Amino acid sequence: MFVFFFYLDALTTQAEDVEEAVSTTTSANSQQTRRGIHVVMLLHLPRGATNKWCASYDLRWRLAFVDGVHAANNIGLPPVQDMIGKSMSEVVAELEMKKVLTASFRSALAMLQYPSERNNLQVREQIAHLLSLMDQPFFVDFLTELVSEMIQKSKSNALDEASGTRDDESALVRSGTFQGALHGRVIGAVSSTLAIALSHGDRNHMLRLLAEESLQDLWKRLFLESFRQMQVFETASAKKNTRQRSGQLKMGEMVSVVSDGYQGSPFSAEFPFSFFLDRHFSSMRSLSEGTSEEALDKQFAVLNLGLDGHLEDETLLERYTRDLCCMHFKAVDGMPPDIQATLLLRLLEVHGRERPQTLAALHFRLWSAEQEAHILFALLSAVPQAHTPVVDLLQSPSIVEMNTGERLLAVLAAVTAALDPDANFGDEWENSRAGYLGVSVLSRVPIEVVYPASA
Amino acid sequence: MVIVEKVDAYERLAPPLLNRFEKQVLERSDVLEAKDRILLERLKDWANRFAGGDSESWRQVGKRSGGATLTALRATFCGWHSDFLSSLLLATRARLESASLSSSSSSTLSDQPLKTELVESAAADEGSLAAAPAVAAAEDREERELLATCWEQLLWLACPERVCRVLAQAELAAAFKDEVGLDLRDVYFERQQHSSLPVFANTMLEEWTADGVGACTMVATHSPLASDVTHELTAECPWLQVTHVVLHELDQERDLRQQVDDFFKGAQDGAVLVVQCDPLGTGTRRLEHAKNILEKARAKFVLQQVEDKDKEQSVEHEASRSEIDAAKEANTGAAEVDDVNAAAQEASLEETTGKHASIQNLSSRASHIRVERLNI
Repeated sequence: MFVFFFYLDALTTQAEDVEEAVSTTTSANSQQTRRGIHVVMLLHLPRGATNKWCASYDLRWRLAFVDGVHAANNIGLPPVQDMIGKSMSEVVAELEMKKVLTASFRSALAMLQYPSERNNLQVREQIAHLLSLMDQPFFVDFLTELVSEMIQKSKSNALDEASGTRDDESALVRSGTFQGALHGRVIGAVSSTLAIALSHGDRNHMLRLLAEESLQDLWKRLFLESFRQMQVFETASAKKNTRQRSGQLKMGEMVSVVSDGYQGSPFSAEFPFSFFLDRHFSSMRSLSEGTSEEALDKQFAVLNLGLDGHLEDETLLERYTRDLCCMHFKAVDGMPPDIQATLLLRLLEVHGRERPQTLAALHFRLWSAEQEAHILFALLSAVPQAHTPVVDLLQSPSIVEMNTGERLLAVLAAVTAALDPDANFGDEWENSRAGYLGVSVLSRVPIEVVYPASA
Repeated sequence: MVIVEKVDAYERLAPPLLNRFEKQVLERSDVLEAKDRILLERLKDWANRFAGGDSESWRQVGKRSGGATLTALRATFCGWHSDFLSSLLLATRARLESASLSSSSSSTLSDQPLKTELVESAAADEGSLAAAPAVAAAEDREERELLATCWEQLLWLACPERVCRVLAQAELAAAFKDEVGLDLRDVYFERQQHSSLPVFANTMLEEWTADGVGACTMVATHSPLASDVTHELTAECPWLQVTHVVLHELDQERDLRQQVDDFFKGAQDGAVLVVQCDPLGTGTRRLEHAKNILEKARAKFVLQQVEDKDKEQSVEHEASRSEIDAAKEANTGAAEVDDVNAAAQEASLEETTGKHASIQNLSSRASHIRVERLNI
């Protein structure tokens, strides 16, 4: 006879630990008492007419039917009996979401339709990134809450176990088991809602920003705000229903990932949900353009996004400027986006005589400097040789004292200097042509911009 | 007298051979008693309703003919055929009778079912007219119990999607509860374990233990053939020691016999022999043959176990007898001590006699098995 002693110190041991120890001992004891030498004949029968097996009851053999060979809890999904009579949201609430999300995010990614073609490496990187995020509890909790909320709102994701297989007999054949068919419905519901969440989260490739711990809170907050305010789920559901009604939903459910780059061109955002903030500022433009940066900031503070006033992290402002640059201006050929963003920030700094400290200041100055920035970037795009001299010119302290017209003329002078035939052009006719194009761009600039009425 | 299976007679044997004989068809339904035939009709009726799906359709088509096609019945109850319910009824009645016999013989207290008491009291008072309703009530209760047990067994072979469809029709599910006396949801999804093989094995193998050895089960599934059965079973039930045999991978009958013999030779508590069969790959005849081999090996093992235990107890009995004799010779104890020893001796003798009886039962059962095999 063996006696198993547990030494428990009431001061250092929690009540839960004691209960767990007792339960472990009890279950171990029950496992020990298992007896019997059993014989099981496992028949893998086909469905339909090909199944020729005939069962006969007798006193020697017991007969049973089991739905599957594999236990359901291995994949985080409940067994059939736990799904009977429950709605989809009730079932989803009891899922082991980490396992389920890990199992379903690939199919969710497959539903996403990006504006530009992605290569294998990018897709692999995205999957690796999502897998690493799945290991982080904050992300799993965040997605769980979001997916559950969407499924609760959804009417198309009903878990009608009775009619589930009647409508689509092939689902049973595909899954092999009834449990598999029901699990397919659950995974389908999770995947489709997850796809909607990812389509919003990976807008402008913003999902990779979650790798930076300092941005995670901001990312989550702005995601939820933008997701609800922009009614992303409702819009996606309405689109899906429309396509279903018109019979276009034959090739699978696809969710578009929008890009907010200049004229729809793809870009990788550096600030979480910068497009959402930009939309808000744009909506305030008609009211606030003639007022002041402070007035705009106060108006922005009403939204309660926590981004009004001076930003604690100055790099956030630089990140936001970069996104603004990508969203409002065409990319300058041959110039890295960071340099272009630095030029824009310098231009905005020149416009306000000091470095902008708030998002509102950035937008307020952008409204006044927008046309000038367009001309500047068009010139730089046309004359790549002028990149360095123009950057140097804008970084010089004297530029602050100039008005818009003087600045543009100085820029033009730098560009034409770069176009000097004696300069190192060689025989590159294309470059010369680009230079002339740059001058022609400048020639189309309204005279009011170069010589404002005030000047 | 040549006995063949009906299917073989119709499909395999040459007509010239059959023409030489006078032919009689004997089905399980032919050996049913009159009261069982009524029960069979009730079972058929409900099976048809169950497989019919739509409650309106069975109403329109009518109770007798049912509405369910053979395809629907086979899709609802795995392994359904025309004689399916008869075999169910025969087996269930026999199982209930043997259970009541064993309980009445083993119990010393008055823990027998109420129906037995009622029947006995009614029989004791034959002349009394008041006993007639009591007998009828007891019989009715017995029938209801049999019907419910039959349905419990039948539900073990029901496919979950069909059960869900019945549950979705509240009216039909309620009628089922009223007439059969079973809560379909509770029985199928709570008490019975249909979700997966590991979950089933974890609870039912021990519950279905027969002959004091272990369960002997045929588990059907529509799940694709899986090679990781051992891993799945041991993951869910760590107490199991699984021996896995894939029938269609064996070349000869000898291989199966060898593996089965090896299993039973070294079998200890918690051992499970899983014979995985793909009827498309092996054929139903091979399946039946494998079943027969397993039955024989198991019966042999059961017999051997009982004999071994009997030998052990005989040795113990002899030892205790010699001790008692020695004590008597010493004759130093009081009369009370003698009484105690005598009581112990009697108990021991009774136990041995009981074991002898169980061996006889097993032997008769083994012969019964042989006879049945011949009949089949």
